[in-house]
Amino acid sequence: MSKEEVLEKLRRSFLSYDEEATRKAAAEALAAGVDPLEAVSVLTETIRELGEKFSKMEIFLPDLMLAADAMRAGLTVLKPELMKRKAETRTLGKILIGVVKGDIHDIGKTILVTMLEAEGFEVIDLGKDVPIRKFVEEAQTHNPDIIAASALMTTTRPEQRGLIEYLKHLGFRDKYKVMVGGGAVTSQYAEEIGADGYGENAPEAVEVAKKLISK
Amino acid sequence: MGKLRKNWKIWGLATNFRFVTLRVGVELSRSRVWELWRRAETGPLCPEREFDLKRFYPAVKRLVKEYDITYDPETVIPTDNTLIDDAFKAAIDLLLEVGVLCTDTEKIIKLEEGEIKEALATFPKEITVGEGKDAVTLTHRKIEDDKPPRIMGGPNGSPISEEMAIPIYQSYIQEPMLDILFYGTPTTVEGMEVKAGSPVELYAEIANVYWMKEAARRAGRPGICTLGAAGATAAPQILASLVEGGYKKTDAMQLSPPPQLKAPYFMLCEAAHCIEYGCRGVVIPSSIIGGLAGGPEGAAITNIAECIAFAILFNTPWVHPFMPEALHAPGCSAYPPEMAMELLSIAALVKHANLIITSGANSRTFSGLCTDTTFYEIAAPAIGKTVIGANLHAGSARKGYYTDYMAGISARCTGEVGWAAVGLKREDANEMVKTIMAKYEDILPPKGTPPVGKKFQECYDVQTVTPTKEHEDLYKKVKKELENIGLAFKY
Ligand code: B12
Repeated sequence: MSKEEVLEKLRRSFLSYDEEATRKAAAEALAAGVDPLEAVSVLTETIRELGEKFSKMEIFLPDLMLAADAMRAGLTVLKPELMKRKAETRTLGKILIGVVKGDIHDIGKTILVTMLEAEGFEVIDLGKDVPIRKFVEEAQTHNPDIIAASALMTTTRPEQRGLIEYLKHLGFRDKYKVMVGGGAVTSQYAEEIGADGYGENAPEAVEVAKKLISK
Repeated sequence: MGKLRKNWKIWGLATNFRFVTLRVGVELSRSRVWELWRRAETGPLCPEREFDLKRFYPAVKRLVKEYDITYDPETVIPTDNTLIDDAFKAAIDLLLEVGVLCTDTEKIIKLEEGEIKEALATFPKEITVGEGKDAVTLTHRKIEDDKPPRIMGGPNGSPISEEMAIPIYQSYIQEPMLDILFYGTPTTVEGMEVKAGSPVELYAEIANVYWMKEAARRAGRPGICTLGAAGATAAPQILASLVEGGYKKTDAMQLSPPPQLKAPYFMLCEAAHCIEYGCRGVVIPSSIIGGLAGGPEGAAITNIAECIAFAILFNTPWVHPFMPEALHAPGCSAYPPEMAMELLSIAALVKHANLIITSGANSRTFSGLCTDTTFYEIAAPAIGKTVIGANLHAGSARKGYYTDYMAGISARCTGEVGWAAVGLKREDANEMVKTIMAKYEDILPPKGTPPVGKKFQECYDVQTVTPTKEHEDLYKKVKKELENIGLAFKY
């Protein structure tokens, strides 16, 4: 197979959201002598296209989630090779994200996670109903650039303020940028509690994350 | 699966039960409920992500295709009976194939075909809520039924300030057409911020039910059913039922399982409270368009399956089809795909499941109060849902996120439009709905920007609890417009 064919096969395996096939196609690409960076960009470009399609409702949340799984599978093959060549895996930055304690509204968060990943962020997803201490402990383990907290209710958004206070108390406030969002949160509330960033929807949140990281 | 489907016949219960007058049915016995719930411990293991992506989603996609369920934006109110029947069959196949996941144990609660049939055949066909002269009977309605819909209304869980809570509730209850009051979520109580899981949340829910009952007393309808409860877990609803003057056995509770086909233990605890306390539960599943169930069609068959599954698992005949759209319109009833798919789900349930149905005429509007578009957003679904066989639900404004953006006039509009739509044929109603949709399509996201409008205290006199003249006049103007397109109001 030519280089183009190998990459096309990778793209197609990925588009069928098949983890095993993507892993295999990635290995084949390497075996065929394809630059791993090129293989990685096939994956990232394709997932960005999928993100676009999702925002037009041509594909749906589970498609993005399946694609994210397949992408991770492909990357497990490609990444070690990149490391060997000392090539920089270009991630935009690392984001730790979760829905705050007491809140199980996780659809918006999941959409945001897939969009951030599609844009090239490395995302650690803590899921829903996440206590403040867990955010902080995981932050210490993973050392993200941004901690992002989602809240959908007026009764759970106080947790976002609590998170910022906790970080301050530990003296970690400046170590991480803190982003907040979710239906119950407004830019005004975000400002009030001293967050660094807010996004009304996922595309806006991605842009804000990019800005925060370049600061 | 193919075999299963071949054996599956449409049950035609709707016709059988019209003649049952003496016995209107009973729920499952407690031992049957426990038998079902035990499956959350003994059923086959399936990690949640595997359930979502490998078990549920492929099945939905396949069944939508196999049964050729399609969303046609031109037909808001479903008229194609084959489509309605197929949506129901697909939903039953889905439920039998996939089951319900208990997310705490990550085990599957499987329901058998016989169990589903039995429950739907024997469940009550009408229920009474509220007490004394304020008691109302909610019944199964039919497609194009000449029986008027019941009206449930209130802030719909959206945030309310403690200062405005009583007048807001009163504004709904004093509307003559309102039959059931739906709770709001207090943001503070005695100045304390309400936080999920904290004792303040418990206290707030006790205050909340007192506010609802006080508003009912002031409106002269002390026995009206108040439907709760605000709160992130079962605890607030339980405590607010135990206290003197709290929720009564004649009141009702919202039971909202997370998407899709999930029964976490906290939900079963809420259902257990309803069963043991003896009040009614209403199943409000969120089958999200663009979410785990995929597109509009997938969400629709999922919603039908969820209404049936949770009616059985929570042991209540009262279901509330609901299909928020993930990107632009979470829970706004007038959004075209949400409206059309909720109508399809209702049609299938009305025709084949004989459950008692309420559904949003305006779970939420995009527009704020005191705008003409907010009334049009209410009118379109109110007509569609009346004609297709639901009882109606009037909720809040501005997507439900903004404090005090709700008022009783929404329930008035819902009720008056709903009653006016009684007797319409689906085809005629469809044309009417489309004409109304054209009046608000420009404000729909992503392209449009809904008007912020006003909040309760800006368009109601808070002391007399009456809409301002501007507000009242605006509603009258919209009513005239609706008359011009052929809606015949009763008064
Ligand atoms: C679906 C839904 C549910 C589902 C949630 C399922 C799930 N797995 O997510 C279920 C049925 C479980 C549910 C339960 C409840 N719900 Co609910 N729910 C909704 C609903 C209809 C849609 C939410 C949604 O998914 N929106 C779509 C997503 C995509 O939007 P989003 O989350 O806002 O995310 C976008 C942006 O905000 C942003 N974003 C999100 N997170 C983040 C994070 C960061 C850092 C940034 C920058 C951006 C960002 O990007 C996202 C994509 O664009 C809303 C109503 C509404 N209008 O939204 C009510 C709503 C949120 N629920 C409400 C309530 C009251 C409840 C219950 C208490 C009801 C009850 N009594 O049982 C329970 C509480 C359960 C709990 N403990 O959390 C209220 C909250 C009112 C309040 N107090 O503020 C709302 C507003 C409904 C209403 N009354 O109008 N609910």
